[in-house]
Amino acid sequence: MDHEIKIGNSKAGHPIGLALKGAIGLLLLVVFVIVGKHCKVSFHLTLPGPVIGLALLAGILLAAERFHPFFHRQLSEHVGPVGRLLVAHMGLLFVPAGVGIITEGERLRHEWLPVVVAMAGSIFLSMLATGWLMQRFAPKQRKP
Amino acid sequence: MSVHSFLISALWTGITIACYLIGLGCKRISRNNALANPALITIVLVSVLLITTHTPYTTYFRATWVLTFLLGPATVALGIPLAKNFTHIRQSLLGVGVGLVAGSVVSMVSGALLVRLFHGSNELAVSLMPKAVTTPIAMSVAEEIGGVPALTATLAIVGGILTAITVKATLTFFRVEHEHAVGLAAGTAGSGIAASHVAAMGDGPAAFAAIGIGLNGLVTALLAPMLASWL
Repeated sequence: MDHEIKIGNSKAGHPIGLALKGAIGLLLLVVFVIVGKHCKVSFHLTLPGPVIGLALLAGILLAAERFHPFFHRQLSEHVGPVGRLLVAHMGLLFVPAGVGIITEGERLRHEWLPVVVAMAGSIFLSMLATGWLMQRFAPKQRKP
Repeated sequence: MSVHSFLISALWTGITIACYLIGLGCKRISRNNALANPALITIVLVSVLLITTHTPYTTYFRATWVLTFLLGPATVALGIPLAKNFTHIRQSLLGVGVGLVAGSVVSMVSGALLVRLFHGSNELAVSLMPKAVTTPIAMSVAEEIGGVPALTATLAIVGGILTAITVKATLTFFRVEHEHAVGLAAGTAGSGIAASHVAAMGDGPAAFAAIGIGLNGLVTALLAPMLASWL
């Protein structure tokens, strides 16, 4: 246990190596975005490019975990930390797009009623649909 | 890129990051209250700054291209937790499959129909359809089906907050107490914001919330173009 922690610390102790791994990981993620966009165009898909990239990455990680543990470890070591950082601070990344709401003031003044009703209604119904069906069909391992 | 436009970029990107840090501070001070959402606080602060300095939105949007560019890799990175939690999906495949697709379709269809019922515009209906999924995916889906991405982004954040606040009480009231079901419902209806809220319940709900975010992103992106052309 002690030994394991030591290894973990010595690895994390190289800031340059860590930054390099992060840079390579980011580059790999960008490659997945580009491949996703290419797939979208060449197969005439209606899925957004990054979503295709998401599915590809998940698929490759799962396949590698099964058939090629070394490649899986390498891929997750490079993509994992930078990926977690990006996901944790995703809120910052969509601010520029979200600020676009200031150009939509007119619409919100006119259509606030359908916005409020549709938001409340659809959230309530979808929450209930997912929760109830999952409870109905999930294995009963934990029943409070 | 000229020196001038580089400075403008650095200035607005820096201001956005500073506002985000203020947002993170608010979240910490309020002890992770869902209402103190860092992204929403940042959007409000930056909007106020743009309006008071009479800066056109297009200038700001062009200046902060770095942040927007990183959204793509961040979306791809959502595949990592999805792959990690795959064993959970396999163990309760039927529940996850049925619950997720139903929640996704119900969210899109009821959202669009309610907008129509209350005489909202077609643009509003398609902008509201993908609002349950994680914001970057919601925005690109909205673009795909003729909605307004900025509107979708704001609705997605507000929807996530609404889900985070109400999910436990609502589901308990309707006797849905299975922890995995609560997690999956939170992730499906309210994406990351609601997920981080139920993550406090434990590892099980957190894993199923992560599954809900990733899979609902995929399902919504697949089904939204079809449903949008029907409704």
